[in-house]
Amino acid sequence: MRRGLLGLGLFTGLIALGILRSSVFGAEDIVKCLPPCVEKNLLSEKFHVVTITGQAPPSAEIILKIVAPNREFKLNKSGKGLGFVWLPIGHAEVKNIPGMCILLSSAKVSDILSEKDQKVAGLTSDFQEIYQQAQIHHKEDPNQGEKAALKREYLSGLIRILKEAGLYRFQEGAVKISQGQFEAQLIHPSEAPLGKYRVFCYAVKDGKAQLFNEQSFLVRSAGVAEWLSHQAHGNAVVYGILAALIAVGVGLFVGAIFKRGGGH
Amino acid sequence: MVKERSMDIYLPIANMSVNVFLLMGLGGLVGFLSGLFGVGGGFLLTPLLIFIGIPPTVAAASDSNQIVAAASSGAYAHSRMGNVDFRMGIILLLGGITGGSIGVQIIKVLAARGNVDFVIKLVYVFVLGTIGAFMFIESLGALRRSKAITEEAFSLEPKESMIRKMTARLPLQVNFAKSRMTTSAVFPFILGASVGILAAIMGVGGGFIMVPAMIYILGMPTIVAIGTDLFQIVLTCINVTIQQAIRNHTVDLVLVILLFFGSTVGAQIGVRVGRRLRGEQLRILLGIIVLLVMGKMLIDLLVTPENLIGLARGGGGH
Repeated sequence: MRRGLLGLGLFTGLIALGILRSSVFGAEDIVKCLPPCVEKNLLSEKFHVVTITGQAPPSAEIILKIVAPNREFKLNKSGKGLGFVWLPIGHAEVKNIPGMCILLSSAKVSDILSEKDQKVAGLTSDFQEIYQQAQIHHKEDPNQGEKAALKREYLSGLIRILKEAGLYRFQEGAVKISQGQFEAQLIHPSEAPLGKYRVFCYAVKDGKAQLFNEQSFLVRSAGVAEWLSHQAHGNAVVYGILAALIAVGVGLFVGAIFKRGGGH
Repeated sequence: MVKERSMDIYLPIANMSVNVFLLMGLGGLVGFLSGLFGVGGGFLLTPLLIFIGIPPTVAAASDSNQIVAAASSGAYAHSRMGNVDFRMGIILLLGGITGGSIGVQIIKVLAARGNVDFVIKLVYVFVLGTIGAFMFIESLGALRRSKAITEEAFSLEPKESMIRKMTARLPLQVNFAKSRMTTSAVFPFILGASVGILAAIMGVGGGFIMVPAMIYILGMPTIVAIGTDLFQIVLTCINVTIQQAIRNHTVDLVLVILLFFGSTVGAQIGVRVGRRLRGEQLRILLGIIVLLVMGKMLIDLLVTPENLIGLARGGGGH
């Protein structure tokens, strides 16, 4: 009897969780990412375009946040050394930071969300939420007093690098809304990491941002590129010997064709 | 948004797409200079690859692999003409393998410490500065004398250098018939090891250091020095390529093949153009190019960086 009641309770709980989930995120097919899987093969160009479309809640502006899987970064801090050259004077490893983070919006964010609400929702133009979630490990432990400032310095420097590479972007007006549908084109650079990308869709209305859908798309290498990458990392001895043999083979072939020496 | 069509290719180890023609053009440019000046392009190609955004360790490792291909064709031709001192080559090679392995370990340690970019740049500045300045001053003097000194640097007959006299007292004396000399095996071994370390750090074959060293320090005939150098470069760079592939996973085969396509064609054009120029004109041009590359690297070390925080790129783009 008690088991039956426990089972019924669990079943009801699961249904309630399902209802709650659909009310928060909306139906699964409200937002679509096309293509759902970006494949990087040898002929891939400097960027791919992922189109994100969906149904916009009435009278709401849209903000999309696209986040790549977390990755680690090894960083150097430059300082004057030997009196005249710039050389690394500090080293740190940053973890738990997305390899790519893009914010796309249908309107100027400062017009539709207060600074406080931007921070609460994690939608600031300077990626404030990254500073909170990132973990940093210094090679030489700094003084307790300067830890926070040093973390901020490393992270702001890293975000600047990622912005310059087009991996961190904040694009206002990039989401177009027409007849209740929104559409945005995400430029995905080739340097961006592989893995599952999450797309968070926010509806902004009356100064409040609400997450109404979450989707994802996959980025992976394919074909010969995938094979080569796999061999280079998983079968390094064979890959190295193969690389050397190909080079010797090509060299001898060319040498035989031109039948000439060549200085080196 | 209209997507522009371009001829990009994805480099799986560097994890970035680069224009095919840019890579082949770089290979072609370096091949052209290689054919024009009779030296390898490794010392120019690695920095050029770094300039276009290839991670330094991928640039250096892939360049070593590219040198295997370039030097193989030359070594093959020279061996057919009897210009390779295999005994000397093997000793240089043993030194080169030892030095190359040490160099790869140095890169690995530096990459872990985050100093690899700095050391590669510093080594480049020192080596290119020394060689560029030497070539520039020597060829400027030749131009001033207004004499057509063709291949002066490589046409000197063996001389009794101080070091050679000193090495005569060392153990393991070996007769190198093709090089027309007898010296201690320790000496070419140390020379090979030194060049091997530089080859691994700079991603170069080391010909531009090794050939003058064999001529001026060991006292070998020029043509045998070039042939023997190419022979040992092939084997040294095979070792560096395999070591880099195993330890650092930084050899990008796609990058290598594209560079070689360009350099093969460029070298043929360079050889033809080179025949129309005088020796000192060629050397002063090469000296200027070497000094320009060195200047760019020196500026990077001396000018305040825009961003004091930088990525420590050890181990490729992954």
